[in-house]
Amino acid sequence: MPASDADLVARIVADDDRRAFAELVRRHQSAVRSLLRRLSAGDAALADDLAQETFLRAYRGLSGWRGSARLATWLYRIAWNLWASQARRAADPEPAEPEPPRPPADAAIDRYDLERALGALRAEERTALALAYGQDMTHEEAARVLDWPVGTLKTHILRGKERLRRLLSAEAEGAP
Amino acid sequence: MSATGHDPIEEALMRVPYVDDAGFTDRVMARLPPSRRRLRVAILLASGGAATTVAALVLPGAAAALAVALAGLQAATLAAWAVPLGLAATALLLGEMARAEGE
Repeated sequence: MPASDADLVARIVADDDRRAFAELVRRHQSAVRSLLRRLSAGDAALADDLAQETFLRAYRGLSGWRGSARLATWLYRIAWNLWASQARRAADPEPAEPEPPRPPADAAIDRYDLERALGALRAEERTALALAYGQDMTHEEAARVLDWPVGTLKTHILRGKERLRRLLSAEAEGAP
Repeated sequence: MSATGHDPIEEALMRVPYVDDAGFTDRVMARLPPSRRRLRVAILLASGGAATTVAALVLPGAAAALAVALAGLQAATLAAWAVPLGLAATALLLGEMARAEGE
């Protein structure tokens, strides 16, 4: 049976066990990188830089993880803080009109179109959608990661989804 | 959302593809600070060397006395002590180095 996250963390904290840390990175890298790719509106290089920094910070701070939250949630919080700092430094401007997404050929929305459309949302809406969907977190957990009230999170989710719907359907209607 | 309750936006948001590691873990591991185990081996070697040097400088008479005492011992007695002690010390050192390398 594979060791639990808590077991691996205990080995890292007690004995600086690098194999245990590598196992933690392998276990969580996809989720953390996916989240950051959505937050970065598909910029995979930026997302991967931030993901590396996320794990380095996690390594330095592992002794501070008390196990009251899931390790994944704790990692998402580090990742989101890093992304938010980077966005502030870059003076994330209000989103301009996005490059038009390709209209969906059928009901399914292409991942690249979705990531581009996410880039057209306000940062709060994009953040709320990135954390609330596909990361196996409840709205309460997502709100805790962001330090937002649950109501605020839900409002941003609703607005974000509505804007996404408008963006994607406008393009679909404008398709030849 | 469609009349059937099917919402393509939610479905797309829920689909989070697996991101292949493709060397990501190795890049993270390469950026970690030096391990505490490597540091431990380095300290062990450095302090052993320093202690030997200090002993030779401060206690030259002791070194000569030790040589005389060792010369007086039977070769078999000396080997009975020196070989297992040397092997144990080497094994300890190699073990620490292997663990540090394994990381």
